[in-house]
Amino acid sequence: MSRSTLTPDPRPLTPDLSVTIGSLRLKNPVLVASGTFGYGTEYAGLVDLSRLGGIVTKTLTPEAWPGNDPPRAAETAAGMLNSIGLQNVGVEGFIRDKLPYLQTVDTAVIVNIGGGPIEEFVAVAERLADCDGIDGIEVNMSCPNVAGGMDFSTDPRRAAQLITRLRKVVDLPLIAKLTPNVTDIGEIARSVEEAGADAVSAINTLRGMAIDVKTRRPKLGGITGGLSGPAIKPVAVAAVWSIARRVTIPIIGIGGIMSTEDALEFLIAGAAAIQVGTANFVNPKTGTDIVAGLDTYCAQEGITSIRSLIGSARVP
Amino acid sequence: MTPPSSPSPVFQVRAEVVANRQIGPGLYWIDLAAPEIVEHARPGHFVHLVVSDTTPESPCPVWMQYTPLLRRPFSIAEHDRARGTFSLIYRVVGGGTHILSTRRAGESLDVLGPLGQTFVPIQSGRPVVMIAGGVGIAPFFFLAQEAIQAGRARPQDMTVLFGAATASLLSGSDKFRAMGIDVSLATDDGTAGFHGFVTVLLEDLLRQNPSRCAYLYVCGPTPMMRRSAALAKEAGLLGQMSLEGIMPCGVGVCMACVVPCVRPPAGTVYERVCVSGPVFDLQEVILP
Ligand SMILES: Cc1cc2nc3c(=O)[nH]c(=O)nc-3n(C[C@H](O)[C@H](O)[C@H](O)COP(=O)(O)OP(=O)(O)OC[C@H]3O[C@@H](n4cnc5c(N)ncnc54)[C@H](O)[C@@H]3O)c2cc1C
Ligand SMILES: Cc1cc2nc3c(=O)[nH]c(=O)nc-3n(C[C@H](O)[C@H](O)[C@H](O)COP(=O)(O)O)c2cc1C
Ligand code: FES
Repeated sequence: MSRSTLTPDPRPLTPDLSVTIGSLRLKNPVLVASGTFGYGTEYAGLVDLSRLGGIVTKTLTPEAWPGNDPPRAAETAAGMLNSIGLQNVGVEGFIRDKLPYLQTVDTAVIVNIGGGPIEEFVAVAERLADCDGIDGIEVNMSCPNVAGGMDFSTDPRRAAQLITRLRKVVDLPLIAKLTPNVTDIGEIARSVEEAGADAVSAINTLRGMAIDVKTRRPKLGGITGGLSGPAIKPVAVAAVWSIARRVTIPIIGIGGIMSTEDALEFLIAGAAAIQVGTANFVNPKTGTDIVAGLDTYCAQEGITSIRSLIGSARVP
Repeated sequence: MTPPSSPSPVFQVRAEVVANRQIGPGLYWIDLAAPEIVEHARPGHFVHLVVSDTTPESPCPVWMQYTPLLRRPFSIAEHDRARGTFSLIYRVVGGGTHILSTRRAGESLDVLGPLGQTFVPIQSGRPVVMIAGGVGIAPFFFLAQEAIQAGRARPQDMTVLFGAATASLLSGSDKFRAMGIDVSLATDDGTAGFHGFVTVLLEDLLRQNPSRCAYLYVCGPTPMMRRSAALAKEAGLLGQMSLEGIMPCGVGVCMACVVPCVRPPAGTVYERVCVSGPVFDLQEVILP
């Protein structure tokens, strides 16, 4: 169908790209993913941060964390493995050195938190709850790179326990980030929704491994690691699709997004927003390019609000 | 501890390939036009480039354009302010460097740079030795060229010790000689210069001619850097080395490129090679 038959009176259109995640309004649905954009400052000279819908910081733990032994990354077919092991500046270091800059940027700041036992998550969340300039908390329930780090999002009861505890101390929008390394991701999403999460983000990396055949050594110091990049995109789209069948809270789609088309796939599958991860390393402007691309797409397709695309897949 | 040099701005540009030519077996020299990067580049800086063709006109989907997915890091080997070009020397070791070797003059590459910490400049009245293995020679052209052009140091105060597997991989040694710098060569197979490791040349120099070396610069394979650092320590000599590492982002966000460093009183700390390096003080890194 041509555009003129869709809109008989084609006026110049400025599509509304804004979306909401719980009480959080984003100017557009494009965020950058935890662990792939540092604390925002690193890319500030290269990317107009104010054009992003939001920035998700590297996972913060109560104390600065050294991380895993190198090598920590290996390239794979259309993707990469990492075993960083959550090396981060710790919550106090973040508040002291990183947050003041982020507060000056006109974009949503979502702080990703992690830890071992529930108490560690709670401690970080409580500390952040006192700070200005934070628009949401994303809970890394699913880091495959620290001992025990995956437990919270592989068992629906444990997932619910963590979110219930955090809900008590966090008024900010609470986003549960899920692992794809489960049989039924929809079930986990359902349990965190019931426990009070405002949104879910999916997916974190897929567990993977690569071996150097000459030395017969694993290519990662952590032996196994997390797979990310375009290779995982179909898995991620399917995860969003499955979650959308089970929950009513917004879904933030993550996994292998490199282009506007990729982002649109996620929105159509049911995501209210998306995050760009590994693609930032390849092209730091991926996120802002996608924002421009979504604008063009909506204008061309006669879409006045991007919200009308969310979950609009045409299934026979 | 190396003090962070004053942060230079980082650019992401489409750099035109001015020339890309073979200079030895599997060894290439590429000139790229990027005036912004050239203006801010200092010896020791590196660039991070997309080796494949990612021009907006490409009909390929984005993921296919970015194959291999990740950028590849290379030290800046030379720069020409007047022409706005910089050069890299690279060896084809895998898919990414192979694709780079097929890029032709007139095409363009997506380049991020200049990145990383730079070398302490060569200073007048302080004789230096630059010891390199293989393509580790790359940053030393820039280091020597810059000091001579700035009139800060005399070529007579510089010595290059350059080792490689075989004679044909020693391409570029004549460039140093043309600058008036003393060059000693070593090859694993004896086809040129000393038959053996280049670090033996360093050992001899430090024993026979210690006044030739008041500061040491090292770049090359890990065993060679480890040995050089050990010799420097024995001789009580200060210096720097430029490290490699697997670098997904190149700008300090991914935490993948780390090396253990000695940082009293904290002990051992993982530092990112891309932002705290690639240039480190000789004794601060714990080499694998
Ligand atoms: C700061 C820095 C400066 C560099 N400068 C130069 C330079 O001036 N000239 C040059 O030829 N090379 C340089 N390198 C190394 C260069 O980046 C790698 O050779 C290149 O990325 C290999 O890509 P590939 O796809 O061809 O090989 P791959 O298929 O990725 O790998 C082939 C082989 O090379 C090894 N390798 C891959 N990447 C690296 C790396 N970054 N460091 C060490 N080994 C690696 C792999 O383990 C594998 O054994 C530099 C690296 C760094 C970090
Ligand atoms: C190097 C690297 C580090 C990451 N660190 C974190 C992290 O600290 N916390 C987190 O929740 N996710 C982390 N992730 C996962 C990403 O946020 C994202 O969920 C995943 O990479 C999939 O998206 P992508 O394919 O677009 O990269 C990391 C990913 C990479 C590649
Ligand atoms: S390459 Fe990403 S932190 Fe160094």
